[in-house]
Amino acid sequence: MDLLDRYLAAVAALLPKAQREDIVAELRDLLLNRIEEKEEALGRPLTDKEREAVLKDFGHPLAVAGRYGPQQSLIGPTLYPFYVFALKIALAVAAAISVIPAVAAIVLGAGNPARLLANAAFDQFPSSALMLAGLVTLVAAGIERGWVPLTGLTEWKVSDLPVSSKKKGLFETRFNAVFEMVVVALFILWWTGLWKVDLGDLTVKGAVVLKPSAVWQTLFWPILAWSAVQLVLALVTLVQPGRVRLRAAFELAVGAGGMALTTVMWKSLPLFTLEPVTASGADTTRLEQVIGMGFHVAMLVAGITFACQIGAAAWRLYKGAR
Amino acid sequence: MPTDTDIFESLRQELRRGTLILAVLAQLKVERYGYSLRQALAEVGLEIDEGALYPMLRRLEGQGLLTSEWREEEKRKKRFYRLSTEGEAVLERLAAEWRAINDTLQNLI
Repeated sequence: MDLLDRYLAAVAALLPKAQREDIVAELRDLLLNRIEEKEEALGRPLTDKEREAVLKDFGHPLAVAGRYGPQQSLIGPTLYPFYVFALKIALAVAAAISVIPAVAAIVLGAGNPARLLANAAFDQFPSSALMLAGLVTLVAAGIERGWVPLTGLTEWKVSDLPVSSKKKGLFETRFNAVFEMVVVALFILWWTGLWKVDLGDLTVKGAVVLKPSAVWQTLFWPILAWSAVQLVLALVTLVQPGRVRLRAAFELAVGAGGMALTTVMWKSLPLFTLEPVTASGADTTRLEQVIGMGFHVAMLVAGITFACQIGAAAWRLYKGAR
Repeated sequence: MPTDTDIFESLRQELRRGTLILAVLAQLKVERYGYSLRQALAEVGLEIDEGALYPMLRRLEGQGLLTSEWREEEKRKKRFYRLSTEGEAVLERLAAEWRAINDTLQNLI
């Protein structure tokens, strides 16, 4: 087998089977023409080295075969800006899911701070970032080839873009969404017991013990469902901040859910009872009154906040629908 | 950091890319095989890299603008390309577009 056959065999191995024979025959003719042209110019047959130089000059078999492929790039120029943007978000998410648990563990005194941070920076972050970047690349390549249908890039409206604000830019909106997502995810893990956090026996300076009331048991599933909706809202805000109406609908659901939970909690006050350990009965009652007043105020603030959220979301839903 | 020469070369390639298709289609009003097509283009001052020319011919054939057939010539099998009926119509429209762009640019530069 001479050099030309070896070269063509290497190209053939990389070509689609259906076109292989056809393309290789054409390339053979082309390369023989090149060799003959050189021989004619020199007035003698080419040496093996000169033949090799002609083949090398034509290009690496991978590059030659690649030119015949239907797809010349993994991610094309139209999709590329969206891909880079998604990569930046993936890196921000990787940083958040690496750093926030480490910071939480440091706050809770669950380990050596330097070691926790080093672990987050050199172990958690690189592996999470690589995994997420790989995933984003796979999805982008799938969109490029039409395997993953995506209408969001073509079917969008200028009126659906986020309202520009000097106080709150798009980056800040997305950063908040990432932060919210991580916090809510950690809360869900803790609420469902998947993430164990030792809070001790809920004593106040060893004098009284805080006992959660039965309402917390009743509200276990509603609070979990409400948190899940919040997580979805944060995800929608992160991925598609331009979907104003969709976000408003979720915000309305979160606001209504929050209002319902606040109402049930208000009716079930006190949410914690105190049992004296070393404190006197009078001190315990006084502390109960202070804590009760604190909860009343907190419930009122929460109620007002949720009412504002419902009003704002309903307005955006109405305005966005026009 | 790209130099001025790099930038110029990249812009030149971009400018040439579309016009080469027009030149290839125009040259294939007459039947030719790849190598002879490249030579014909070179003779009129349009050098084209063979690595780009052959895949381009296949793409144009896949789009129905060219037809091809294998024939023996000079004791070797060669693939001959020629403009299809559809290719002729597209060439006519592209040529009109080219003339319009050329006229406009003549007034600008």
